[in-house]
Amino acid sequence: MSFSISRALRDTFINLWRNFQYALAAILTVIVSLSLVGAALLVKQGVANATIEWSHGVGISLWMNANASNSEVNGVSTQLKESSLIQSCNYLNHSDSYNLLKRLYSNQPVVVSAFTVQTTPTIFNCVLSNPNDAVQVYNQYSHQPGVYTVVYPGQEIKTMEKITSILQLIMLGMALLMVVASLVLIFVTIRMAIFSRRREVAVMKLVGATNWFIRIPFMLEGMIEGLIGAAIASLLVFALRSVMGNLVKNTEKLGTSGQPSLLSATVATSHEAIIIGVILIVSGAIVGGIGSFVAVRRFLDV
Amino acid sequence: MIKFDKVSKSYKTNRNKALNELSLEITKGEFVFLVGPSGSGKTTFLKLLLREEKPDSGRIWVGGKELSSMGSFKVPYYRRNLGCVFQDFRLLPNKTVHQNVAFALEVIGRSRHVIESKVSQSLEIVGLGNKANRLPNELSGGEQQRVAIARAFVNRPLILLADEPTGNLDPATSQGIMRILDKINRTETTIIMATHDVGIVNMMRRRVIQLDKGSLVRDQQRGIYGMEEPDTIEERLTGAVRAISVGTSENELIKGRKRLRRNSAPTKSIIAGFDEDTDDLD
Repeated sequence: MSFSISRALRDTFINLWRNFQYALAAILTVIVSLSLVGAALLVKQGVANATIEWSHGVGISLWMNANASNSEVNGVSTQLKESSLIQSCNYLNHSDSYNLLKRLYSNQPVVVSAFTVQTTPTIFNCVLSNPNDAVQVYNQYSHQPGVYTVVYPGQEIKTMEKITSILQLIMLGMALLMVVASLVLIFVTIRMAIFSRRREVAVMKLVGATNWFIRIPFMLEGMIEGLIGAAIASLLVFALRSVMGNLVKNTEKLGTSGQPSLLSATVATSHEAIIIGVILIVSGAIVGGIGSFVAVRRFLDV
Repeated sequence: MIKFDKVSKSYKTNRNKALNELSLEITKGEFVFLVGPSGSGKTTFLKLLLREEKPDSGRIWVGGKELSSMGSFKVPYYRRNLGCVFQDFRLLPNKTVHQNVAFALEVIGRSRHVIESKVSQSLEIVGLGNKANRLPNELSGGEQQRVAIARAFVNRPLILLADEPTGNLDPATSQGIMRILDKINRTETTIIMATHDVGIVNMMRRRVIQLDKGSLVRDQQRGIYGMEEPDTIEERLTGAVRAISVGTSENELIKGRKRLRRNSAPTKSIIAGFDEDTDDLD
């Protein structure tokens, strides 16, 4: 058994070597397509972090003073409940908002360490009945006792959101096209590999090698091409994330406001980047596997 | 061992049937020549036995197994009982003689130890033990065919199929190949050989199955190539030449004829230009 496994692997690499130019083309396409997919996912994740977690889309956030008294909090709460401008509210107590902070700044431990559970402001995350009333709500509540500040997404953010979602769609569409291209290229590569080894394949069939024994080296070849491409693509995605992270850090140093900036949330965390990397590698293997499986089924019939 | 029961087969591209209700039986250890003109169904017969093709109707049994109802995943295991030799040898050009023969065992998952001993045995049988490390293109046609036979026989098949194995070889070399096939036949291996080679069929005097347009027209023990008596002058002549060549060396015969032609002055002056070239073709 081990003999056949080592043989299958050897055959796979001999194929890759013989078919080098085709394999290279296939790998490069996989790299480009999966990098695009990865970048799209990265941006998507960043935007999701920034908008959904931070300001709840067309919502509004009331930040209470960290040391606001219970009666102050209750007062604001009752007012919010009774206000016709507000549809509903979600209250984050000290530990909730501390957890949110930890999640949003997990790549900036310095920020997190500046807070404790007790010094993190509590937050009312509210959904407006009419998104255009944000300014009115801001004016009404920002001077209430115990309220630190009222944060709401400006029109710019909504426009940004639209633009990024369109950009994401375009990127994903292009990525999808590239994925199809890499599938086709892997298919062609495996077809060439089968063609260049047709004599051996004919002899194998003749002497009674099983179908899977003949097929597996070709399928492995396709999967390895997909995997190599995907591995390089995820490295590129990691690189992209750290470049984005550095850019944001530099911008924040330039900025004067002590407030946590919206930008910092647009960088996906390294944890998320790892998940994206895993997604890319799995899809690389799948693309390679499907491309070669179809080729094997079509051109290696027994 | 092998039984055909009313087997018919036709191909999409050809309206005529490649085989038409063919029934016959071949017992273990037989040596059978399959003769007939091109398109008579010889190759189809072999392909059906290999289960490369399925019959349109009728049944084929090999070693107690019915081929058309055999699941396709079982086919590779079935084929391990067959050996195959072709006119064009089908050796792998980038592998040595030894590797070519070993390949047949490697791909069915035999251990290295078994492969080593079986390959050298098989090469000894065909008389190529000393050329194990040569590449096919360093060998003569006859030697390449012997490698192909070694590969076909290395797994000790029950049946050896040969599709015009001497088709590309000169008569003397062909006889060498036939001696090896005869040797293999003595190990109780059934041999089925499709051929156009009149001299060989007439020399071996084994069972002859003659096909024509897909039908069995003759099944004769200890038969010869043509019908009972050679009826055209050409067949008589070739038959006679082959008959002489059996026993004496074919090369001697060719040399003798060359001498004869050189000495006949009138013809020499006319065909001198291409005489030298055509001589060797025979």
